[in-house]
Amino acid sequence: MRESTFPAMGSTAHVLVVGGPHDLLGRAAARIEELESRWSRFRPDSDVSRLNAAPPGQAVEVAADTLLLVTRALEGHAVTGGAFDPSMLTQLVDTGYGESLVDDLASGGPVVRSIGDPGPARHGDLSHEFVVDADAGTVTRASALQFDPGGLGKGLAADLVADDLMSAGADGVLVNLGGDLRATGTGPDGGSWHIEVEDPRDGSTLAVVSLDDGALATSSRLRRRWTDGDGNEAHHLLDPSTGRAAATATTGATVVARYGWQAEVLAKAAFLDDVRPDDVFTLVEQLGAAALVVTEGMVLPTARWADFVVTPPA
Amino acid sequence: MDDTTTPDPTSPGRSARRRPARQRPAARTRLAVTFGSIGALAGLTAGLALDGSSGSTETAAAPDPAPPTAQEVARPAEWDEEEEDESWLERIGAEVGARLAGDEGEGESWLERVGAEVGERLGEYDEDDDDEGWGTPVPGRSGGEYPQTRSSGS
Repeated sequence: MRESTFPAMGSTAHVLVVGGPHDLLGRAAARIEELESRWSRFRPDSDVSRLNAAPPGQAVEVAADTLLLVTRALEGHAVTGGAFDPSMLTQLVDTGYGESLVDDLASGGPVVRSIGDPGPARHGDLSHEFVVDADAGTVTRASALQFDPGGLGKGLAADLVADDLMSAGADGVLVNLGGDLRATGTGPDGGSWHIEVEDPRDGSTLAVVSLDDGALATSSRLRRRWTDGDGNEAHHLLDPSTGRAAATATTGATVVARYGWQAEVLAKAAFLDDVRPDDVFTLVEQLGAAALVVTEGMVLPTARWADFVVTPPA
Repeated sequence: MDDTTTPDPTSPGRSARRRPARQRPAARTRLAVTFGSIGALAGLTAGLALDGSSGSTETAAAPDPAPPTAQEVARPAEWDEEEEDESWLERIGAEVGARLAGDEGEGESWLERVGAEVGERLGEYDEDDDDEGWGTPVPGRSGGEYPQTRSSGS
């Protein structure tokens, strides 16, 4: 098995490859950089930045990867009833996330930023707000709403890179982008892929998940957080019903699904669960996924979660 | 932690929640059953017409009526789910029988045309039902190297 670790998408990429040509790690790094250059809202020439800068009604030509990104984001919004909302960039910036934050700031000193009160997200069908024309290769914003794929970009990137490496001849691949990962094919030594899930409360190991083919994503409010001058705290996981950082007892949510983008969508929805009138555990189970939600006092698994947990050797 | 390996008894309320916004298996099943019933009725009626027990070969010269579209045979939206099924089927059956009686010799092609249209529309319905087909992750096995990577949240 070969592996590499490098900074990417505001976090750390960890790529593991079993078998195949020797240049696959370099191929993975190049593909991740390509996707980040198209999807980052912090790069003014990215597809996402150009889309958000264009006047409403103007079709913006984007890469096929970006058409897929927008399509998946709209699907995530629809299937979660709006809990996953890719139209909250304005709220995110007003809340204080206008500049990039990297993962390791969570363990460093406090980040001080102004925290506004931007108001709730719009509701309804976002497919009328972000119109994808696959034949023309364009996306059009219908109004002033801005597009932000959030963590879905990492999950989908993990999917695309893993598929690409398998197509290039790998026997097995695991692509981990800041905790959103996809694992497929043969694991090391012909076994399965094993992923350690961090306890968001204290950084210890909460569980070890074993996958032969699937994805895992974790949303935590202890990452990408900041405070204002008055001691008020905020984080990057916004509640669409308020437009503010979710005020919840949930500290983290981990979801196992078939694909990385799905895991990310459901993890976000599961994280918001206890601040919404209904929760997503039934949704997670109906979609064949499994979830583990961690609050300050409890650990709540869905019924199928135990299928993926293994006990490490002593 | 061991408490992650078994369902948590503190979470009994986390069930029987809302269903996914775009899942419509019941609607699709109903639609499929509906069109299946149409086909059965049409076949039955055609059989009756051709063996002479009902209908007449003398009507074969009548103008070929235009086949009903799927929209024409689709159940009106305002009809309630279960109560009206029988009368609705009776009405469709009567319509199919009448058209077959006036379509002698071309009944098979008429059924093929209607069937193709219905099949096409059902196919469109399936394609639109895109929250199905998310797939399921495949659990791994114990053993081997632990762990290979870590998920600490984003």
